[in-house]
Amino acid sequence: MIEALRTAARLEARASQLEAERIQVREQTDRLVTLVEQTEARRARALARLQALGLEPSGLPLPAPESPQAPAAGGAR
Amino acid sequence: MKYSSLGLLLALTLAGCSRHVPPKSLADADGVAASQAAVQARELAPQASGVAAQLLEQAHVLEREGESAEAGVLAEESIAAYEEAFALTRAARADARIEQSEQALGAEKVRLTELEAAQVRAAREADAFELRARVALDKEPVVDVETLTPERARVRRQAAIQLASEAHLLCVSAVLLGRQGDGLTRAQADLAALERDLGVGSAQADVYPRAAQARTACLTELTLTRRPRAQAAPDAAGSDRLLTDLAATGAVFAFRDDRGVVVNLRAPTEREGELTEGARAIVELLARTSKQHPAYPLLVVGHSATAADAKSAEAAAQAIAKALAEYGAPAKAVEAVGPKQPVVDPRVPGAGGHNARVEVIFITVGR
Repeated sequence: MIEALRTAARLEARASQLEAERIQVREQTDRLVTLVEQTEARRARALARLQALGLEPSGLPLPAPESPQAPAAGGAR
Repeated sequence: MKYSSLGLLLALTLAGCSRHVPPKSLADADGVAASQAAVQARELAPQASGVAAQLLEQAHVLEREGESAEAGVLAEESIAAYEEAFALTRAARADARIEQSEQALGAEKVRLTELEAAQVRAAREADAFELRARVALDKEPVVDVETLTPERARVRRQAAIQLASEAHLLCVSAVLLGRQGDGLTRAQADLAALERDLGVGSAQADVYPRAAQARTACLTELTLTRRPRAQAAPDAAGSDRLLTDLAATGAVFAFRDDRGVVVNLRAPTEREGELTEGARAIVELLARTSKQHPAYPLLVVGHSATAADAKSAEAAAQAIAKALAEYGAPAKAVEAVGPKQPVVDPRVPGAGGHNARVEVIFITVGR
């Protein structure tokens, strides 16, 4: 009986630990999603600039639309 | 009459005593067996639950046979067996949570890895596109130098001063990453000659193309320093992590430029040249971040609003470098560029507040 209670407590602690780890990885993933969106927006702006300069054919598919959180072109120098 | 009443009372009392009362533990065990927990135990711990039910059944048999004392003992044992079944139910439920969490965690890690790869790919493409556009713009020939008006000449000279100053910091960044060789030596010599000419030359000489070339040469040196490292570890998203870590603090605004990841401190010192409390807190945070990302050398650059404040901007940069060292993350270099790199046109009212600043730059290694 005591052994069963000990086992239950140990397994519950392990389950909670795994759930916390999953939440942490999820948060990391969410942050990375935002970063990828911003980078793709930067890539799209750079490509559009190259197309405007005539250095890339304009028929290339443009990446995803610009994220509202994306920083200004070229960084804030 | 009196005696007959007493006899009746005695008879009733004896009849009452001889009436069979089941043990309390049997009723308790029945209650436990009918509980919601027992229903779940039948599903998740069937063996232990079966043992408990069997004990209870035997207790009822004994009770029907009039063996109340033995029935009570078996009922107690049944309750204990149910308690064990409940503990095993908890364990089984936790086991299911573990399995579910492990699956979800595995899927989340796969997604994270895919996103990291997507980020590296997108960043590499964006960097390549931006570099091509910059190089193309730098190479554009100036076809109408003869028609320069004095105002245009002044503006181009101003832009050349800024470009030369940027070139200087790019070459310094390359040196901090360990760059050596003829290319860098040439770029630095050309830049030094340009800076001399900018110092003494007349406003009529158009030095803009040379300044643009100098910046391109220093940026090329920096890019060539980074390239082998980026190729050696193409999936390393270190500077993204650095940027994310800084953004996550919520205390500073960090951005990326050609040199690396930059954080600006505005008005970091008080009249006596001491760091303000706010600036000290930010420097401590930057030092902590730097220690977590030791691969990126720190460069501190003082910018002033006007030429007259150049000394105090340099002093502010030195004060920040000193504090960084105190917090265990010494800067590899401290530079002062005066008012050569304004972020807002100095003629705009209030521009000084934006232009006077100290930059702390994490020189990025891979890209």
